[in-house]
Amino acid sequence: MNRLLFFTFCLLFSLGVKAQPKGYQPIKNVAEFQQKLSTATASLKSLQADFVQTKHLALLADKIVSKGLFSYQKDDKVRIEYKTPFQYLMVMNGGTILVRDEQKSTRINTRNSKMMQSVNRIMVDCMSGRVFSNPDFKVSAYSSSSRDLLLLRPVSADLQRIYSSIEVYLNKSDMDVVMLVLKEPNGDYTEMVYSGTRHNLALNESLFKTR
Amino acid sequence: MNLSLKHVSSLLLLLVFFGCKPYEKTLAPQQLSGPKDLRSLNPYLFKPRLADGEKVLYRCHFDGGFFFKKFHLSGLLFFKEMEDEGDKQRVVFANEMGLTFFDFGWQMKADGTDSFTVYSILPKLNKPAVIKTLKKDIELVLLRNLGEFKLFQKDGLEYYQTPLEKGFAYFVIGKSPRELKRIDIVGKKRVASIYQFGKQPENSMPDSISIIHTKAHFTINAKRITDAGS
Repeated sequence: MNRLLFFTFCLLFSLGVKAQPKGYQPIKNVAEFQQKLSTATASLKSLQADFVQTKHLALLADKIVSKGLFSYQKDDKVRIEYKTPFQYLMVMNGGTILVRDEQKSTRINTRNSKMMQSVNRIMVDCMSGRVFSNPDFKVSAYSSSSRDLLLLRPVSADLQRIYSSIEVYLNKSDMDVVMLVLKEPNGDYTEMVYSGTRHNLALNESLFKTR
Repeated sequence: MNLSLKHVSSLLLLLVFFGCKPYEKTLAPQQLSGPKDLRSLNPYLFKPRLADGEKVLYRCHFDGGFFFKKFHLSGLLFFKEMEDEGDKQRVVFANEMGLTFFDFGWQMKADGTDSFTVYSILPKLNKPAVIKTLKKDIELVLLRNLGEFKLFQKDGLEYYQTPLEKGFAYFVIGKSPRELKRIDIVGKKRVASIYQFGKQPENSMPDSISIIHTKAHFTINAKRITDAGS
């Protein structure tokens, strides 16, 4: 019996260790962390940062790299502009998304697409500090010496088929998002690393136009 | 006036008659001569040969639909020759934000035929008809999983016919200079055509690919790019 208990304990312990990101410890006082995040993002009116996106193809041991510019305007406006090696623009403004590639512009009403709504909301929530209130994900918070990490696990089966988890890495000093990792069930994952972040710039409203 | 109307209607009748003529009936059969090894036939000279570990990236646009139900989709199409795994190629299509739409693989078996594997596919695309169409289109570009060829001729062009699950594919090849003009996919009549541009040398991946599905009402256009990390 004791052996069984010991085995069960070891199994649970090993599973617990596996679920915890390497180099990170669970944040004990999550309420305090949420408060810190809200305070840091309360004064944020706008943000702009360069990004490098790397798509890692797990089974192919290869990657695809693209670069662009990320812009955010309070409360719910996000612009992701890929500049190289292709041109692609995604503007999220309220319930509408504008997608523009080299050939065509398409407007999507996220109210008609639960999936788009969820993905759209992650971006906005990351900037506005409302990640914990997103009903589509179970959120766990971790911390290392230099960064905080929010681990988002999708709740619905539909989202689980697309993303196994989403990791949001925050700078401990200013709570800026420095990296986003979108993990897929097949083992592929996409990293978006942000750099040169500029706060509270006077961004032109036209950047977020979806019409 | 009456005469010209008569001519126009005759012309229309002729057009209808020839327009309805099955594709193969417009071609003259030829005897395949020369090497016995099918893989040295003209179509296989255009088979892309990628070096071990080599990858090729394309910017890709899908357009399709009827009347008001139109769709447009874009992303990145990635070809890779797997390292140290024999003749094995993987083809991945992902959207700009990195989400994998599909990941297919082909591996040549000991008997010279190809095995096909779906490594992953988005649930919305996971339909037999979608997989079959994508598989067939990619196999024709990569010249994989093809059967035996019959030779036909028309207007100075060689038409190499190979059977598909439904219908045939015709590799249309110009003789001088030797050039792969297009690949036609034919049921009772032509249902799709694949055009490849900038195949220099002829056994390389092309600079651009255009696949026009006239029956299924969609087109795929892919243009070769170099990723920002290269």
